[in-house]
Amino acid sequence: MPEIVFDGKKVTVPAGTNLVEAGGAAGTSVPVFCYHKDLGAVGACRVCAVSIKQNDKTRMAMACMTEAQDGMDVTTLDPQSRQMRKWVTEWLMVNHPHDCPICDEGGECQLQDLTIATEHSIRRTELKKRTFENQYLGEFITHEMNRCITCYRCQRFYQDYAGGRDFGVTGSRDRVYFGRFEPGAFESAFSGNLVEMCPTGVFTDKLFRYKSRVWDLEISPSICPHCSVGCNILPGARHRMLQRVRARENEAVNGVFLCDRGQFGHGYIMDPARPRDLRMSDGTTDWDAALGVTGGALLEIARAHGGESVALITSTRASVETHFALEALASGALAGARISHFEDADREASALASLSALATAGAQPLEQSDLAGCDVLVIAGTSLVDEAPLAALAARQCARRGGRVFVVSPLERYLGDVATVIPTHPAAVAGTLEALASGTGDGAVAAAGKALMGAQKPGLLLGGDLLDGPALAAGAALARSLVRSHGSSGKPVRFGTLFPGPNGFGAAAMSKDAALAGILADLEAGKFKAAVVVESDAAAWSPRARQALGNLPLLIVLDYLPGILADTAQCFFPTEATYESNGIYVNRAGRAQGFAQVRVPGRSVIEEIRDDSFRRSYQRTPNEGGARMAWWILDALRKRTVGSPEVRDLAGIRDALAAARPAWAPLRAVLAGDEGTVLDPAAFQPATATTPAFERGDGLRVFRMDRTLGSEVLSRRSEPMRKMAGTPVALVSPGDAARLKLGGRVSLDAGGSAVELECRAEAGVPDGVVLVPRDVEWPILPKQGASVRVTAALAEAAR
Amino acid sequence: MTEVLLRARAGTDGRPASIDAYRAVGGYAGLARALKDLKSDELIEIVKQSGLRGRGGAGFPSGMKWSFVPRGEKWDGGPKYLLCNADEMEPGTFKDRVLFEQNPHALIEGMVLAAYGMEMTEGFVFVRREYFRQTDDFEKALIEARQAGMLGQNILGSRFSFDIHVHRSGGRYICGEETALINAFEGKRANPRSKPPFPATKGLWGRPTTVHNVETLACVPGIAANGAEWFKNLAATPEGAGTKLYGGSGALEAPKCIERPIGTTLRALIDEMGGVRGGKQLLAVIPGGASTPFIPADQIDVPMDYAALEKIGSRLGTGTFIVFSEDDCPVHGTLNMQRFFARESCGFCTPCRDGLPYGVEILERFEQGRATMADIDLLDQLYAFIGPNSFCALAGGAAEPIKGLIRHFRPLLEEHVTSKGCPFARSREAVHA
Repeated sequence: MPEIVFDGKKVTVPAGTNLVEAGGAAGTSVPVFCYHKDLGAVGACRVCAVSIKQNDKTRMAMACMTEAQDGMDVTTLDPQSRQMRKWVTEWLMVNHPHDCPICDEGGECQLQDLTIATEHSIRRTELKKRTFENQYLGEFITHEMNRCITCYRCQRFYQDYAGGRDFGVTGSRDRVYFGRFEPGAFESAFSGNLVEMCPTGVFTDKLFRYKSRVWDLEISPSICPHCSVGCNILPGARHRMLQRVRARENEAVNGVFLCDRGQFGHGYIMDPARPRDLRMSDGTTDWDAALGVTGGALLEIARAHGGESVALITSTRASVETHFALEALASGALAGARISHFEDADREASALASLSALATAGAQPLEQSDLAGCDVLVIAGTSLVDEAPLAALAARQCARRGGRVFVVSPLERYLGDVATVIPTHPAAVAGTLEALASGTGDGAVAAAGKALMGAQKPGLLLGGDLLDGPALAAGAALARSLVRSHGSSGKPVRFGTLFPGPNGFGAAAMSKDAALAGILADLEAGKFKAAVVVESDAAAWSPRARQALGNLPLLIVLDYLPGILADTAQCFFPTEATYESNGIYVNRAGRAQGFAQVRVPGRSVIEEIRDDSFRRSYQRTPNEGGARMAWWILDALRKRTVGSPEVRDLAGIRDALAAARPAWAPLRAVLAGDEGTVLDPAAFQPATATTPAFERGDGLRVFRMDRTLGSEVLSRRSEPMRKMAGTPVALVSPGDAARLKLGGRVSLDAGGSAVELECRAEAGVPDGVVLVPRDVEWPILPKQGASVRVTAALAEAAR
Repeated sequence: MTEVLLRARAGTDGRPASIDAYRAVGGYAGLARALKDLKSDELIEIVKQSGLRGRGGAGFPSGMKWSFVPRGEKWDGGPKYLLCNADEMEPGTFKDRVLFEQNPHALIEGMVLAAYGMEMTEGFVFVRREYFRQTDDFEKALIEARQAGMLGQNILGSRFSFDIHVHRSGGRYICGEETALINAFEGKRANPRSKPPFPATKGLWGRPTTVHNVETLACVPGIAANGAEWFKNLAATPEGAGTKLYGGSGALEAPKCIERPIGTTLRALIDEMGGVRGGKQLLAVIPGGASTPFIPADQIDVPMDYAALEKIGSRLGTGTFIVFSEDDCPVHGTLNMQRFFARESCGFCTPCRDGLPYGVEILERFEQGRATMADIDLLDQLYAFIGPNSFCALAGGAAEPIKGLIRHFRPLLEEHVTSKGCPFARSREAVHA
């Protein structure tokens, strides 16, 4: 461990630490442009020049390219280093435009910071500034190449770190150009990170363009609600509008990165179609009165028909507090009310089974940072970049660091260049995982099994959508056998699964059983007199269950999204979305993370005054509209039904949860903005659930799956997201495509429920499989693995 | 006059010396001797003793370079590559082309010997794209060598096998930088790599690699055939070693490329090329390509060798000099060279990419009569920070002529300021053309 002096301060740093990091340890923030801790050092920008005294000799060197060595006396404060920084600023400003007034990077621009710091104010050269043509790069990112300072960070992130192939560097001398071969939307699911990677304003957030100065944004730490990874974010609001989402650093989860779904999927927040007013069928408009009327009606039904005549349903996008507040409603007169914490019966069953598998495997959690740190990583039953994009990005880092990655899945469209892909029919994933455990099989399966057994740090990540019950069981058995074989020598075995929604783990941990299928069947049969549905949706319900909603004597809906539930409810209470509320989500690895209110809900200043001119000041609370946190509304209803003394605050509800269920006690210590707390799945004694096996009979089988952009329930409501996602496409194997002459528009008929969409052959998809994006709307949702008939669509056939 | 590198020459048909012509003057004798009598260690030792230094510009001792490559026990048995840098793009330099045109077998034999010494498996010649005709001829020479058993499997019946492939470059000055050349070879952008790791351990495709200039390799056959002492004795001075291809261009009566003992004085070389054109006064000389500092007229008795030139604050570089007469403005000449360097920057690091055009603009102010006295110091400071703080040697090379210009021609720069433009009529025409 070399000991050095940095700007007069003595520090000891681990061997191999470069002088930028060593400076950080000593409290000096060495200016950098091209250096980035996750992208490494390349020595292009030359701004981190420091003077190093060693063995009585002084030399200037680039801090990023120099490892700390014992006895070095390093300084950034001597005249040479100062002068060098001045020169670098002056050189970069030769071509950088003076468009700071209209640049969205202004205020968080590293070049701006350095220009101020070096007091560069007078242009001493008469060179004409070079200009470039910008490219259309899609709906998310604006390209402004004139601002480029050629640090190569964008190219190093896009190509090296994230594996993108459609963006890179061309040209030379002072005309180096970063762009695509031709204008067009970025193909990478991670393009939004260029906004953060670029030290200046070449890549800026298109949705945020000209919306606000960054220092005027109201920000709070939050958690991304668009999948189960739980990336840490820092959304910003102004004019009572959500303006943008940025990554917030958490090494254990997302590092400093986000996927495009998370960064640009927030359009649903300011969606004009969003139901933002209290809506009671009796015309009540006052919140207090409405809560009284609703509570009274609910109580009346429960007294008349018993608690079991009431259904309580929430979903994986609701916070832990909301789940608990809903559960807490089922007491007193409402005792016996039927509860489900999920919006989709299949996903409920698989989430419960996943939690149970995690609880009984005896392995360590497989967090995002662990994915990157494994030496052998097996991913099964998922198209990872579609289901949990940041997990796929972490898996790529595993391969880049020399780890071996194996993917057992019917579709892998991101890791193919760095992983060994074992294309597998979803019904055959179980068999492959069994072969890995028993060391049988041949070719890649044998190699994967052998690698796992010999691994120092093995990891196993199981998917959601494309994983059936037997595959989950086989995966859990594989994890248990690895724990047995590796545990004795102290090698950690890491095991993880994916969950639906941002709080699928929390919903599963809160569940006593897989209840939704039974609840929906009884709803169809007219057995319920009342239902409270909280931040959930009916898309995965049968048409008959949806129809039955209209016949319910009392339907109470709490939500921030429009839809059939909000439309049908007699009592509709608008709720606050993630960025508007306080609460906790538990991510796929059991990490409980808090989020805090970024903006107040309700109409924006611009909607209110019907004017988009720039307003200097505005009141923070809206004049009309408004919403409350779902758990607060539920607790208020509880006061009026169960008769609890008062409505609780956030701490109060967490205390009550801890008292009722000790496994949740760690939540009391979670603060929004901290790194979160990892919960032990075994502490929850999760309910067991049986999930059926996928069938692999003759003919084609349909499997619904996520796609990176466009299928997730919240983000798909935003216009730019829909544009970038494009229309959904069904994927089949090249063999099936040729055999059945598929291509272009096709009709898929799963037992009388038919849809029409584009179809494409995709290399690697096994025969017998039709993969259909989750956002395709079916008259009746087919079961995963249902038999499906695929024919050329009528219009196509006629042609 | 001892001609070693050019001991075989092109015939009257303009075609380079054939293998027979080369063998008739002792060609391939060195290879035969080495394969028969010398172990690789011994050959490296002889090259070390000979005092051969790189002829590409940097002047690094060749034997030492060879010894960095892992051999014997330290070699993992995988491929090791010998690269010949024939991307001759240094302004004013045209010596490697002459070797290609006259005596390609000297290069082939040199490469086989170097490969034998460093136990290399494969050789590549990276040729400047403008030398397409010469490259065609070189490929024919390779065929001759293979047919004669000098190249390919079991060379001259020994257990040593080695072959040479030709790569025609896309053409950039930066490809002369060995790691940029390696990147270009791999199909990547021709940006230099950071060192360490050095090519000797991790070069082309991550394998041990040595990059040599054409002329350096062509020196090896003579050393192998006649020994280290013979090579040392070829020099004109006691501290020198070998002969050198000296090219002269600019204001000369008879510009050309000639082979002379290394250490021959600049004055003698100029005289051999007919003296300054039109009987004009000599003003200055750039001794070894655009990246070497000016030598004023009163210092031309300097021996053209590494140490002697460094002693007077310049460098031998490629040994191909550019002559300025009393009619040629050194400021304008420097501007011309800086335009070249700025254009040829790969664009990777800031000082080179954005600093060099800045320098060009300042020089233009002098030539166009807009400069102030303060601009002389600005120029000086600018290059003082560009040179040592760039990623590779390109911008450092660009700073050299500026150093020489300010050291020797400060009054001339001042005259550009006071007379509001270039006092040399010819240059003024060129600038405003």
